[in-house]
Amino acid sequence: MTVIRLRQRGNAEPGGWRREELRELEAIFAAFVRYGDAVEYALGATERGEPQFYVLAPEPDCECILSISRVGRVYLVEDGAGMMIERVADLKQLADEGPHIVERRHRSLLAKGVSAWCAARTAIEERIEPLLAEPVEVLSHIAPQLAALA
Amino acid sequence: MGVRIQIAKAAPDANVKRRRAGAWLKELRARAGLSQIELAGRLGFKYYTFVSQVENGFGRVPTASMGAWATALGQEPAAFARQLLSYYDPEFHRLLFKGKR
Repeated sequence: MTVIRLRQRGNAEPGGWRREELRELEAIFAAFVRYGDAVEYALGATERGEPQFYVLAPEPDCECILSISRVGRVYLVEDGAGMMIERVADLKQLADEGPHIVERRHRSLLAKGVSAWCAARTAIEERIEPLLAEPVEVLSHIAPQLAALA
Repeated sequence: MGVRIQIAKAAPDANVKRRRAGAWLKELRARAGLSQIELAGRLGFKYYTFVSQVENGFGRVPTASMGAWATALGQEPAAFARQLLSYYDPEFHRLLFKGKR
């Protein structure tokens, strides 16, 4: 597995992040790489210049699955759909939680999958049950008559 | 303030299209005279960081909020969704609207 590093120009602070912050962010990113959820990351900024760190899913989508933004003195952690996951003051703490963040994401995806499966099953049952119930009802009427003839 | 983005490696097609969508959304927002904070407020978001994520081309406008996003930007929702679909899922867009204008 290859961890791709960003090109850095001299002592510049890439994307507005400080070097120590980038180290912590890379530790979080490494947790996603270990679980096979990400292979690269990117840096950006809001229009007000707050730095953003995007963990990107593997190809073909390469979509953001986790975004970390520094706004004022806090770090906002959101998923790829803009759902707030955490709001922390200490990036180191977040880096230590890296594997838990990935596990939580997996649980959330699993829960969504199970919900979708349950919804599909309910829809199928609602359509199929009336079809199955009808022959059973007919049979329950005919069975005593068949038994009397026997 | 200009947005600085560095991507680790060559962007695949989906990534390029999402970035085009982001640029288009950013342009619409500018035309509507809204800041990212103001747009996020109209969309009911607590923070504007997701707006930035989408405009930078790393996220998509969620289907559930496409209508609200369109209205906030002064766009007709169906045309807005159709244009976004052309960026996010070009093949699906082609199948749905091929030959239509």
